[in-house]
Amino acid sequence: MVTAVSRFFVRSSSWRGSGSRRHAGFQRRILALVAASVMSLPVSVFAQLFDRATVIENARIVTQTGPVVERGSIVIKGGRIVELGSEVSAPMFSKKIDAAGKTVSPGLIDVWSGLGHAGASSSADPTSRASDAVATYDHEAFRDALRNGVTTMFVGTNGGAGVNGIGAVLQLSPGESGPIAKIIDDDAALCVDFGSSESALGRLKTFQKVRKAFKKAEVYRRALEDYDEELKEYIEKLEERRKEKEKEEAEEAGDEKDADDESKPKKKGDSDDESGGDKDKDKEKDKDKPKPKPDPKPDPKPKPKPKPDPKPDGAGLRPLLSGARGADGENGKKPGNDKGGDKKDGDKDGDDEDDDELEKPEQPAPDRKSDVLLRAIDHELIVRIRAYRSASILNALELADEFKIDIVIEGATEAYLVADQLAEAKVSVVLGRVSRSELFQDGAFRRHSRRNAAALSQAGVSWSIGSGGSATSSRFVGFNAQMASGYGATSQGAVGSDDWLSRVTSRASRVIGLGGRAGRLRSGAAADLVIWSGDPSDPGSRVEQVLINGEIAFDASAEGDR
Amino acid sequence: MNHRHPRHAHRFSIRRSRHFGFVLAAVFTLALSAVASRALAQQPSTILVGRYVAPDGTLKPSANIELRDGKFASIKMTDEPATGAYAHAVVCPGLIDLRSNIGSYGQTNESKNAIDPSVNAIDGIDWHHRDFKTALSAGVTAAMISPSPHNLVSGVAAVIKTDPSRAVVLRADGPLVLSLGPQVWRYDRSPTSRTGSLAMLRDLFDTARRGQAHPRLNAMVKGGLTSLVYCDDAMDVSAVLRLFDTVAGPDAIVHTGGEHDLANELSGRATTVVVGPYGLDTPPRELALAGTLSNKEVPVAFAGQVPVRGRDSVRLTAALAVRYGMAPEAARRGMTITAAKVAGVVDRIGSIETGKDADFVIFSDDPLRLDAKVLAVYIGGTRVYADHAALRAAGDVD
Repeated sequence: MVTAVSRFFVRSSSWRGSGSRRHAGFQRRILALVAASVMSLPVSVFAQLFDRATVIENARIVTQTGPVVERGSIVIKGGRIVELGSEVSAPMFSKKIDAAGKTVSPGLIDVWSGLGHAGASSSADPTSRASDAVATYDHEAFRDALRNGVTTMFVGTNGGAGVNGIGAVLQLSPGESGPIAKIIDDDAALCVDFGSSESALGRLKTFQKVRKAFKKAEVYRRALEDYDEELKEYIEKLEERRKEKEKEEAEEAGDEKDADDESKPKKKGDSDDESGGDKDKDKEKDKDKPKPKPDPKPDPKPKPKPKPDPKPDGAGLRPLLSGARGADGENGKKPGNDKGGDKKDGDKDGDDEDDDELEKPEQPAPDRKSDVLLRAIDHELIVRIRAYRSASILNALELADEFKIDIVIEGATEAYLVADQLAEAKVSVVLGRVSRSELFQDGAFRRHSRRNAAALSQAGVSWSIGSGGSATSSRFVGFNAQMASGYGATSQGAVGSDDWLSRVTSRASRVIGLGGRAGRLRSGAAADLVIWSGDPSDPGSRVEQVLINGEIAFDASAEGDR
Repeated sequence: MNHRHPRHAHRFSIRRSRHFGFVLAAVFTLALSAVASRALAQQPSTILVGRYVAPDGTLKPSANIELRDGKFASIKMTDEPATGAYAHAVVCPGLIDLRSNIGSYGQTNESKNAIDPSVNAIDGIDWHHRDFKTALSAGVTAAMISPSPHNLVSGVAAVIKTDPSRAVVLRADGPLVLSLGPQVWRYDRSPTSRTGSLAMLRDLFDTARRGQAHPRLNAMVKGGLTSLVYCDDAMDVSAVLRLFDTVAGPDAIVHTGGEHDLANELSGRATTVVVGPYGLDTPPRELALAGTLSNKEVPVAFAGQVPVRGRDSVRLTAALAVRYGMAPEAARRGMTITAAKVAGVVDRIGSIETGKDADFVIFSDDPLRLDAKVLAVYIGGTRVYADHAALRAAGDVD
C-alpha cells in the first residue's frame, strides 16, 4: 500500500501545473485513496488491539496431557490456548489473571448429562435429536454447573427401550443473556437403550427389537443397491431401444427423404413420449403407494443428514406439478437429471403410446430410520448403548460384533461382572451415579457395586463417568468421579491421585468424540478451563473462575456470597 | 491390634455343634480366645498416623495414638514420620449419622397417636441386619435411630454403635423427638394442619410445665431430657423457637429445607441444626444452608440416612456443604463431635481425646475428599472392618 501511495504521489507531482480540471480530479482521487486506506488499515490494526491475549500467570496447571506444571502461564488468544508452560512469557498488552497459589484444570465434562433436558423425551425413534430438546436458555441450571467447573456435556435422547435418537454435545457459553448452552455437536452418538426391566425376557425383547432394526437397515441397504443396479440396467436398455428406434427411423428417413424435416423432431418427441408415458404410469402407482422418484444416480450411501422434503416454495413445486418428477429429491439424494437430457423438453402430457414391455424397477420406500442406523454401520456415528445388567452388556457386545458398529456402553452397573469381556472387545464404558441407596433394588441397580469402576480399571477397561443423565446432578460430576475413583484407586495403589479428574476431562472428551479439542490443556485446544482456589481434589477448594473459549463465564468474586 | 475377635470362634462352634466333641473343643477355644483377647486389650497398642482429625475439626500432623482398654490412652504429636499403609492416612473419629435407618428401616413408622412419647426407637433395631456391615464399610461407627417423625411427639431416639457383634447401646432414652410440618398432619386424627399442630403442642407444653404430662415431656420442659425437633419448612423453625420460648430446648433442629433467615433467629441460642442428607440432586439453596448457619456460629451436624441414601451419605453431605460454603473444619466437626453433642454422647465418642472410646476410622486421606477410602474401622479399640486389598496395596502386611 505504501508503495502504491508513493507511486501515486510521484505521478501526481508530475501532473502538477497542468489544467485545474485535472487537478480537481486528482483531489477526488486522493480523497478516495485516503478513505480507502483508512478503511482498510485499521481492520488489522484494531484486530491486533482488541483481540488482546489473556494470560493466566503463576498458576499450578493440571494439563491432563503430561505432568502437572507447578508454576506456569497459559496464553489464550482467539478463544484458544496458544502457549502453555513454565517458561512462557506474557505478550504485550495482554489481559493478565494472577493465579498464584491457584490450580488451573480443564473444564469438566459430563459425559452423561440431562442438564437442560429435563422432562424432554422422544418416542423411541432413531431420527429424533437431543439437540432439539435442550433448554439452552435455562440459565439457572447451567450456571450451577458452571460454578462447579462443568463446561461441556453430552445429552442423549430418552425415548425408552429401543433405538432412540441422536445425542448432542453442549458447551456452556459466557454471557448473561442469550443461550447459555451452545450445541457444538448435534450429531454426537446414536443412543440405544436396552432397558432396565427386571425381567430377563423383557430385556431380551428389547435387544431383539434393536437387533431387528439394524437387520432391517442392512436389508434396506441391499434393496437400495439392487435398485440402483436394476435402474442402471433399465436405463441402458432404454438407451439401447432409443438407438434402435433412431436407427429404424434413419432407415425410414432414407426411404422417405421428403418428410425428413418434419419427422426428425417428431420422432424425437416420440421417444420423449415414451418416458413421459412411463412417468404417468409411475404417477398412477404413486397414488396407492407413495413411491420415491426413480433415482438414476447410483448412490448406495444415503446422505449423512436426511433433510426433509426440500421443496418448501412454489419454485420447488413447479417441476412436480408439471410432472417433471426429476426434482423430487427423496432421501435427500440429489435430484437426478442425468437422464433428463432427452426428457426435459419432452411433452409430458403426451398420449400414452407406450409399446414398451420394459418394467421400470421400483425404488424401495424411503426409510429414514434405517438411514440413521446405516450411518452407524458405516462408522459415521458411534452407538451409545445403555445397558445395566451383565446380560445386557454382553448383548451390546454381540450387537457390536454382528453389525461391526462402534459402541460405548452407558450405565453398566454390572460391568464388573463382565470386565474381561469388555476389555477384550476394547469397548469404553460410561458410568453413572456411584452413590446409591443400599436398600434392596430391582432392575438396573440390583447388583450395583461401589467397586465397579475399580474392577474396570483392573481389567484394563477404559471408563469415564457422568452424572447418570440427571437434569440436576450434572454440576456434581466431579464428586461422582471422585467417589468412583476412591474405590477405583485400590488396585492402582494410587490413593490420593488425581485419577478422578481424568475421568471427567481427558478420558471424557475422548468418549464423546471431542478428542483433543476439550478436556486437555495444551496449545491449540479450546480455552475451556477452571481456576480453582487450590487443588481440585482438595475438599476446601472452590471454583473461582471458569473460562469458556477464553472468556470469563463464571467469576465467584462477582457472584457475591452465592 | 490384629487379634481375632472371639465371635469368629463362636461361629465356628455353632457349625459343628452336632458333634459333642466339637462342642467341647469349641467351648475351650472360646474360653481361650476370650482370655487371649482380654490379655491383648490390656496391652496398650499404638498407631502412628500421617494426620488425624483433632477435636476442633482441623487436620493435625503426625501423631502417636495410644489405645488402652478400648479407649484412647494418649495422643502425642511426633516428628517421626508415619510409614506404610498409614503414612498418608488420616485418623478420624468414627462418623456419626444423626438420622440413620441402620437395621431399622420401616420398623419405626408409628403414626397412630399424634402424641406418643413412650415409643422407644431401640425396639425397632434388627441387630442381625446387613446394614451394620454397610455402615462400617463407610466409616460410620455410631448412629442415632429416631422414631419416624410422623407424630408431634414420636418418642425417644436410640444412639448405638454400629458393631453388631457387641450391640453397644450408647443411649436408649433420647433425645425426645418432636416434629412439625406436613408429615405430621393426617386426615384421620389431629392435627390436620400447621396451626392445629402448634395449638396441640402449646397445650401439651402447658400440661408438662404443671408436671401433668408424660414423664418424658415433664422432664423435657425442665431441661432433664434433650429434645430434637424435625422442621420441614423454615416457618416451622420459627414456630418451634416461639414454642420453646419459655421452656428448655430445643437442643437440635433437623432442618434441610433452605436457608431463609434462620441464621439470625438461631444465633445466640444453644440449638444445633442438623442438615442432610444432601445428595447430588439437592438444590443449591438447600446446600448453602449448612455454610450460612455455620459461618454465623450456629453449630451444624449432619444426617446421612445411611443406608437408605447410600453408604457414603454422611461424607457426601459434608463434602457438598463444604462446596457450598461451609468451612472444612466445621464440616469435619459436623460428622463427629457436633453430632455426638446432638446425640448426647459426647462424653463417650465424637473426638480423639484421652479417655474417650477408641472408635475411629483410618481414611486414606481427608475424609471430606470423596476419593479418600476407608482403610480400617475400629470400635472400642478393636478392628471391625478392614479393606484388605487397599491395605495390601498401600504396603501394609495386614
